[in-house]
Amino acid sequence: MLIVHVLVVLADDLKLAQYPGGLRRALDCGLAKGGHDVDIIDLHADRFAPTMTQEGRRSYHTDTPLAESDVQDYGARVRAAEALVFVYRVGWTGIPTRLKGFVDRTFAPTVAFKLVDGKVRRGLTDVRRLVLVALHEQDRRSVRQGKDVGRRILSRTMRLIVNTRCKRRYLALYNCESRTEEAKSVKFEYLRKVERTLARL
Amino acid sequence: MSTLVVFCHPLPDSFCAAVASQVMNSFTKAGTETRMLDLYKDGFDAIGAPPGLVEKHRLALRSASGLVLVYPTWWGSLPALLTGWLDQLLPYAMGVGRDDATELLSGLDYLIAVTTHGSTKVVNVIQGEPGRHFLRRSLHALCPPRCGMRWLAFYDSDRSTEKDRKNFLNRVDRRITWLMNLMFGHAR
Repeated sequence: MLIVHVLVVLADDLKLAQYPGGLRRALDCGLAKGGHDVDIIDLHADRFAPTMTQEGRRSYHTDTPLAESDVQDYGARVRAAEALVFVYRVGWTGIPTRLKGFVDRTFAPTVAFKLVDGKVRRGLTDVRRLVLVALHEQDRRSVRQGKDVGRRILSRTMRLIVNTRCKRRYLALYNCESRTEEAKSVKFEYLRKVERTLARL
Repeated sequence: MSTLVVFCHPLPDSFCAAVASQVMNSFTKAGTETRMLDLYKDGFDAIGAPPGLVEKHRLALRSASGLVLVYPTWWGSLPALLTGWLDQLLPYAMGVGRDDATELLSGLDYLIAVTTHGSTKVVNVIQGEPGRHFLRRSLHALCPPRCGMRWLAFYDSDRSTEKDRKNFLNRVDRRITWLMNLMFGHAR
């Protein structure tokens, strides 16, 4: 079996551990089954500050764009990844603030992409798999109406800098707060799907 | 009528800051009462800002008849700080708190986004214009029906010349003056 170096970015508060009935367990099981080499960044546990700082912005277009120590560490881990998995839970804004901050601050020129004459060139050519595990508080219709901003940023935009043959998977659970019987079975099915997908990256 | 300008860029000497001051000038020239919230200067925390500061910003938003967002587009969308600001001022989930959010925005007559992009319009369309869709579909949808939205964007700033930037500042000025005349000209 092909061993893949997976970087999992968890962008959620503590609720993720218990909710929805063990997403964390599904992630761990799936990754363990696949026998992958796993690296987990938990933005909430790290108390990641999403705001781009003055120093960060001043050094953004220089040769060493990651000026601060927290993103320096993340930058090295992103560069080492062969698969990216983003796990997040969103309300109406489409993408959680911490995750947007992570992308803003860490995915800088020379780290994630190259700027040649002001044009973006691929930088993460080792990344051949991209999985989004998105828990939406809204229902499918509202997310569709809002044009699913998170998916556009993390999948459609990310596509421009990863390997041309990168496989992209989008696993979305809608109405994730719902507690009805039907929602429970949907959730169960969803967790199985997450596990399956991560096992066969 | 009063206008609230929300500015979100870390550097005070950036082009985005020049755009923000141009926006302020144009509104003042048009005779509207204008107030600027500089999220970086106010030290607004994107995750958990102090309740007092959030309440202050909510009050400013409630009393405004126009909201202008001046920000750089990073990764096709709003900077994390601006997302966090909106999330904390208008926290609502499905069915909960939506009335509160619409009530907060009920005084708005216009919503204007003024933004600078590093890349071209073509690249932004390939990305799916997430920032523009977010403002149009999610934020503007919460505003009252009479509220209009305008999109003023500067593309390809990485390769722009001094002339392009000057042209954009002029365009911002012209658009705002025209809009204010159109909306409130009869009142004067």
